[in-house]
Amino acid sequence: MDFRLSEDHLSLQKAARDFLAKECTTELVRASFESPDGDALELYKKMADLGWLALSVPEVQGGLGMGLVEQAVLCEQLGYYLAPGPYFSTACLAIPALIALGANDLLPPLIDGSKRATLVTDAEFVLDGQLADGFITTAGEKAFWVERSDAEVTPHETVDGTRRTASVGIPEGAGIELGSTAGLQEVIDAATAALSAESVGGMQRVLDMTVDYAKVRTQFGREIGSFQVVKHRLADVLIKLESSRSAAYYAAWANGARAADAAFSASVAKAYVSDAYMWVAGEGIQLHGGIGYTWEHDAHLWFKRAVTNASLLGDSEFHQERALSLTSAAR
Amino acid sequence: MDLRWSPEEEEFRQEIRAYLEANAPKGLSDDEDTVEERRAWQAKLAEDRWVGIHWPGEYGGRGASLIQTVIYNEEYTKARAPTIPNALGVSLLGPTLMVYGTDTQKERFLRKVLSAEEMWCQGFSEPNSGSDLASLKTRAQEDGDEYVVNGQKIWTSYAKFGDWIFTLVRTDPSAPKHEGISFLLIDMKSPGVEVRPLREMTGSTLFAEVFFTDVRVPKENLVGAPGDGWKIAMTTLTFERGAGGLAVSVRLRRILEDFIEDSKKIRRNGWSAFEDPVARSKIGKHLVDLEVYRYTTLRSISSQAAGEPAGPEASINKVYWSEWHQRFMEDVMQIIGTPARVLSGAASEVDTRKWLREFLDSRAETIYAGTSEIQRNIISERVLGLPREARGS
Repeated sequence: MDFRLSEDHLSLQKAARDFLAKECTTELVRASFESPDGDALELYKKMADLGWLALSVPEVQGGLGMGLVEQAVLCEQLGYYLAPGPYFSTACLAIPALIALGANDLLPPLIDGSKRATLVTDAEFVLDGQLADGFITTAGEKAFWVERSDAEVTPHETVDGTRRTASVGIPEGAGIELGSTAGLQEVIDAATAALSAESVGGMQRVLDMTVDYAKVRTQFGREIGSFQVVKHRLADVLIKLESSRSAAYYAAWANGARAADAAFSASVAKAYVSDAYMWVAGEGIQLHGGIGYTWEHDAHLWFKRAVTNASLLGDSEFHQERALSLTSAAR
Repeated sequence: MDLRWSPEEEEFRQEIRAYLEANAPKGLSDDEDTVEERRAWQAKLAEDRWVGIHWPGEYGGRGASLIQTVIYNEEYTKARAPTIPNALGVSLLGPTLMVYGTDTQKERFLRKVLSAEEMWCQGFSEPNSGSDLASLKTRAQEDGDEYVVNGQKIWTSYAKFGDWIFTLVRTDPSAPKHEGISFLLIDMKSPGVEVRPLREMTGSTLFAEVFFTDVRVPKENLVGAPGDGWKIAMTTLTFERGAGGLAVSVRLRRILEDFIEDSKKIRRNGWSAFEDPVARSKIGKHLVDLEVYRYTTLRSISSQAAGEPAGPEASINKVYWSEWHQRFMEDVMQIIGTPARVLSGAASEVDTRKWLREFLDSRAETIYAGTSEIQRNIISERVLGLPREARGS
């Protein structure tokens, strides 16, 4: 029983951190936030060049053959730096879905970053629908591949400019059939674990930012971080963060290893982390005081990502209920 | 990262499981009226070397690894085996003597700790020294080959049954407060030791106050050097952590599952509480929160087993489980509704006495072994590096 990240995991973590600290600055995040479609495609291309889209693609299909824990390690860093753009939808949803469906011929342009795709779970709110070149859709028990030219895409104006959605209309009979949807739930569970890890990264950033501030901001002649009420709130932030980290990585391991509790652990992680990230990001604003409520300060950027992630792939209420119904005691 | 147990670990699990299935007495409560039966059980465990398994073989243990100890605790809890009555001796005093005790002390005390032939209690807290333990005032004055002890300890469990008590006493009142403390073993049958039971809000009397009036204690009962008491106590308290986390999660999970069963019997808004969306949503949230605790304990165990020191994550775990239990019990009370306020005499679908007891018990957990407030200070100062609290003298 070993819950620690391996040496390989730690070097991936460091490589991701080094790259993103340089390439995914807050200036870039803000530019993407306020851009017409939140694309950040230059960053996306660089990420593709690093092989990040191929991370968990089996080697026989031209990928790096890593697992879901590695994907979680990377997503955590993407969340820390609030990386904008369509990475999550292509790498964590579309590519694994196409692999599960055996549609390997569609993978190369996605892996090299020249094209982007997303999985449609709710046609009214399609993650990164405004940037996708193709869509994986379902009808009954069949999955389909639909080219953007065959779909009617209406981009949304979203609260989080770094992660957007679009309505996607698919005309009847459009697209090519890819086979049975049977394997897609596992893909969604795995993506749920990866998304939880991304949220963990966001929470870590909020904690770091807020602790730094509490150590330098003085009121009443003392650093505000010396007041017990502030210390205890930050202790609670750490408790939620570390608990979220345990949940996200447990789920990543269990889904990667196809353990018996894979689906259950994915729902446990998503239910817990959704609420925790929202709460933590809210504390980040509160503890910064007035400045934290301004557009100029970065606190709201992570808060808005927390709001988005909370409902993406099922909110906490949905996953609490699913976890309960997957528990033998509850039958 | 691999969260599976190894084949050797699984084999060990089967071994302890089979032993407990064949030997553990059934249906013994943790109440004080079962202490004698539980002493006999612990003696049996000691004979078969199935208690204090993390102790080295020479003292009657098995030299078990942390992971084995964790598995043992998990299986012990799952089997609902009776709580051993000399737990403080096994988990706190014994390991302390192994590190700081003299050979004579080890020889004299350790075996009888495991067999429960001598029962131990803990004398750290005082009425005016709770969270600020180092302010303790119980005085031990040198007099020839003896110390003369005067003062009072409180929150002492099993005091009524205790043969010995391990205490923190002040041997040097002129030294800075952390440096004037010593670790002293006191025979409870000495003249001048008086035990007064304390009734808790549950109605039980598990705790007691222990008064010392001119109690004469031979100097050979001092553990470590005079003035080392604080350092030794801090080591002692880390023994309390670590291996027990998973057992806590098993215990709480069983409480949750018992309530899920009961919720199917409770009628609410024309259906069972289990089917009621409001109650169900609460239960689902508690299930999620508790499962996350299990993952965190696995993570802590894994890093400790790899040789990383038991750090402040013990504080995170303590706050998490104790506050989970309180929140859960508050919701249990609300879901049961008015009948939950009645101990007996009213019709109810469930055993309200049991749930009420669990509810009241949970209020102690955020206080003992370091209050939630102290734990949050530790987390914010030692992990986050925030400035220390301003202190009085």
